Parts: sequence; structure tokens; C-alpha cells
Amino acid sequence: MSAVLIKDASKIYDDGERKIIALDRVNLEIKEGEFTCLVGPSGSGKSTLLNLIGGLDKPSSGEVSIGEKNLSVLNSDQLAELRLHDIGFVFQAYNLIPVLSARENVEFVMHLQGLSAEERRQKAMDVLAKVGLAGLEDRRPGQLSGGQQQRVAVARAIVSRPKLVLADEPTANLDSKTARNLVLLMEELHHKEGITFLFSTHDPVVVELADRVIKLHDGKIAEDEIKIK
Amino acid sequence: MKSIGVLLVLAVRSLSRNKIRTLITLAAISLGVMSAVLLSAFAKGLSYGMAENAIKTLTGHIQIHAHGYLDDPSAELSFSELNQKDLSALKSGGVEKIAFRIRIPAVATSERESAGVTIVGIDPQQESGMSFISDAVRQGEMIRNPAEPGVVVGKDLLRVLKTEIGRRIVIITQDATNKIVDRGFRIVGVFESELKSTEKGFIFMGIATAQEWLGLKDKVSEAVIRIESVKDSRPAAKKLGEILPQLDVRPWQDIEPLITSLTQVHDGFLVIWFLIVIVAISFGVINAQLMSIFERTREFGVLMALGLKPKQLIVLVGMEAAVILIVGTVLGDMLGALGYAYLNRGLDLSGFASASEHLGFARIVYPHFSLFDWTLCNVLLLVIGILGSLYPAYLASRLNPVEAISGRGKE
Repeated sequence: MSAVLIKDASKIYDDGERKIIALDRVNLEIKEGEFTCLVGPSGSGKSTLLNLIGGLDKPSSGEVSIGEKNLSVLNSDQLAELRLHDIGFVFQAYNLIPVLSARENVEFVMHLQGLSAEERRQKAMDVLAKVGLAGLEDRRPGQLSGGQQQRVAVARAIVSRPKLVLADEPTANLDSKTARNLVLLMEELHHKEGITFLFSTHDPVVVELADRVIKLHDGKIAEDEIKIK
Repeated sequence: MKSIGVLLVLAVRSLSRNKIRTLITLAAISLGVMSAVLLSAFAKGLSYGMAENAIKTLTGHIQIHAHGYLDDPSAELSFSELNQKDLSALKSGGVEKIAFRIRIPAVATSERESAGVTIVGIDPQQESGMSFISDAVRQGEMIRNPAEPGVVVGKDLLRVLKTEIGRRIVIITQDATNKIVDRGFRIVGVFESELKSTEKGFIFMGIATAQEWLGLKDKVSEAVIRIESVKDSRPAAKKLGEILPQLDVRPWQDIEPLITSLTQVHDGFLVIWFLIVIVAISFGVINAQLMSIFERTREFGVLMALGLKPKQLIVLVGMEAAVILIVGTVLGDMLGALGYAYLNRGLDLSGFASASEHLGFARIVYPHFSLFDWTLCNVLLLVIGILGSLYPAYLASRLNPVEAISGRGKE
């Protein structure tokens, strides 16, 4: 079954003086359980595509669907609900909430989902242990290293078992060893939990470990390689 | 809303992020609230002091006159002292104490000067606990009985007439038949009062002496009444008016319209001051919220990406404003209470004696706490402040998540 289905999606930015085509009639299907990465030079449309898939932005034309939900017909509250329940995000700059501890950051999404305090705490502790942060649950982001913060971000993204995790250059701010460990962790979670991951990246480690590599160029899919492992 | 708890935690912790800004905003709110609370207590103290002065001086809680006397306070417009039946009816109507008086305008002359005065014929026994005069004589003696021939004058009148205790003054007035009459009286006592105008304006004599001199027999100009609580003056006066329809029964508010008007002016001024303070505070809170939002644009974008709805973002920003407003208001109330406790020993306005005298203010003002004013100030601040914070909250809710996460700002 499709985790993501994109039909003829374009995104054009118009600043009044000129039009920039960030995505040009993209068609793409990502199946459930894939570990896919989007590659391409800066400006090729990777982040724009992730934003459309994440319901953070709307295409100028075409359709984006997550599972059976067509994002074009959803209003801002419905899109927020979709992101809350079906999509996890991992950002390049970690983007943890600085006034919350690692555990509270992970619990935040479950808070919004209305889970009980006990359930939230249990799940948060479990997932933090899974990403190797047992014992650091009460530290705030400022007290964690970049790699540890990104692990918290991964824990936050997967804790409520979303259908899809979108990771926008998650290793860009990490050293190569930390980056490799983080990608290996996500690959392990993908295998064990069956979570669909979609990365945008320049990092060869991510490309090496991905099942499928989609190359974007000038807003178009230039190459789509499915690896046989 | 399921998320209210976590939003409250976020709101409180976000305020602690920029401590200096939060403290400055808190200080502005607290000082504003403190000034409003203290000003209200001071203004109410002034009003209450004026009313208390007037009531204590000669006005009482309720006055009874012949119809027309208040417009033309002459000896002719007098009424017979009330009979036993009427007095019993008054007692059952809540009257605690009653004093009968003769009260007629007159001119007092000494060997050197003359002055317009009001002569007040009193029964010294009835005035005890009713008016200031029974405890106000500082030189000489108070009139001991209603038929005593001497008079008691104010210290300032003594100065104006350039005379002294033990000497005689001549008082000229009209009697019950509107005939001009005059008689010499020896000054037996000198009283002092809170207000110079009282010292200058009144001459006290025995009521029987006045009745005999003016041909009033058993008639009086006014009956002054004290009831249990000053607050009940108006309804009690209405009730007594029904018992004595042949007479003009008025509460003190009607007898002292200037005080009533000034009290209303004070109340109006307070509401205006409250609004000025509250609007100024609200602008401060809105400004602090706007700065906070612009600094946290990326964070708001992330929260939206994680599934926070626009209306939840409005709640979050509104909560931050509510928390700082509530804490600032409580601090301001506490500072106001401290200031009130300090000023409660009395604020000496004798340095402004001539101005305060003119308006009838007491020389020492005791602040008066008004629960209504306090509630009005607190509720208005919280409501207007939180409503004001909806503007930055609305801006936050309009953020485009993609632009916000990239730090590029609002939609």
C-alpha cells in the first residue's frame, strides 16, 4: 500500500517579479515500510517535496496523498491532526523545544494526542532508551550534544508510531561518526518497527543505507533507484 | 482541551527564558496595579473623610425640616418638636439618636468687626455622640443646659471678630414673625473644628434660649438623626418620610450635594485612571509578547509541524499573557496592600490646608479600601490585557510553518 502518493505536483514561488519553479510536475509513490532518500543539489526541490508531503505547504498544482488522505482538501486544523497522528519530523537543526527536557520533548506529541501521563511517561522512557539516551531523560536540549539532541528528535518523531517519518538533512549538523550512528539507529528502527522513512540528504552514509534513492534535479525526478539488498 | 496542561507548562517556562524582559513587564504591571489600588483607596478616603466630616460636624445621617426650609432657612419655617407617638414611630424606623435644633442665618458683630454666621440652638445632652460640638470646646466652657444665656463660638470667628472669650457679641437675625431682632450674648466657650469654615461659620447657644429670643416657643428648625449604618441613610430617610409626610425628610447626600458630586467625580476619575493604567500595561504586555513571538518564530513553526493547531497556538500565547498578567496583578495587589497599610496611619494634608479646606477635605486623609474598585481594577486589567494579547497570538497563529521553521517569519 502507498504511504505517499504524489500526482503531477508542482510548486511555483512567485515574488511578483519572477516565478521560481521549485517542483515541476512530480509523480512519486512511496510504499509503506520503505527507507528512502531524496538526493540532489541545493535548490533541486528536496525540502520543498518534503514540506508538501508533510502537509506544511500546499502544491501549486497536483495532489499529494498520505495513505488514503488527499492533503489538498484538508484545512489547517485537519493538516495539523494529520501531522500529529500520521507523520513524524526530524529537522536538520534538531529543533527541540528548549524549555522542555528530553523526556518532555518526546512526550509533547503524546500530550497533544491526549494520552495519559503514565502512558506518555512509559512510552517516552522506552523510546529514549531505544535511541540510547537512558539516563539523560531529564536534561534540557542545551545540556545535550548535537548527536544526542538529534536522537531526541528521532525519538520524538517515532514515539507515537506514525505512518511516515520525514527527515530533512538530519545528519547535516553532525560529525561523520555521530551521523553514521544516527542513520544506523533509524535503519534499525525502520527494520524493527516497520516505520516508513523519507530523508532528504547530501550525506553518502544515508544514501548507502537507503533502500531507494530518488535523485532530484531542477524540481524534477531525474533518477529513481531501488536497491536490491 | 487535552493539551491545556502542556501548553501551560510551555507558557510558564517560556516566560522564564528572557528573565529581564519578564521582570520589566512584571514591574510595569505591578506598579500600575499598585498605583491604581492606592489611588482608589486615597480617593475613597477623601470622599469618606468629607462625608464623615460633614456627618460628624452637624449634618448627621438624616435631617428633618419643615417643607421649604432648605431653600429659605428662616425662623418662620420651623416645626413643632415631635410628639411621643412620632418619636416612637421613628425609633421603630431604625433611628438610634435624635437631636432638635434651631438653625438660622444671622450676623454677629463685635466692637470692631461683623460676620455672617449661622446660629445653632442646641440641647447639649442631645448633641453628645451626635455632632462634634460636645467635644470641641477648647477654651472656656460648653453650654451646659438649653436655657443657658451664653454662646460658644469658633476659634476662627473669634479671630475674625477680633474679640475674645468673656466678651459680648451682638447677634442680629429675624424672628418667627420675620421681624429683625438683636441681642447681646457673652462668649462662654471657644470651639475648634476640623474645618476652618465650621469655626468661622457657626455660633452655638442653648435651644431654649434661642426659642425664647426668636419667639419660637416649642418649635425647632431641624431634627438631626443618626441611624445604625450610614450606608442605609437613603432608604431609612425614605421610610421616615412615610412616617412624617408633613415634614421634609432628607438623607445626608441630599443635604450635602457637593460631597455627593465630588464622590461621583472621584469615582469617574478613578475609572478613567484605571483605563489609562490598564491600556498602558496592555501595550507593554503586547509589546513583550510581540518580541517574544518574533524571537520564537522557528519554535512556533516546529510546534505547528508537530501537530499544534493554530487555535492552540493562540491559547499558548494568550496563556503567556495571562500568566504574566495574573502574577503582576497579584504582586501589584500585594504592593498596594503594603502601601495601604503604611498610609493607613493617615496622610497629613495640612500643608494644603487652604485648598483642602475649600473643598471640605479633612486635614488628615485615611485611605479607604473599596472591594468594588479593587475588583474592577483587577478584572479590567486581566480582561483588557488578555484581549490585547490576542493580537500577537493571532499573528502567531497565522505563521506559515515552512517559513517559520526556516526563520523567515510570518505569512
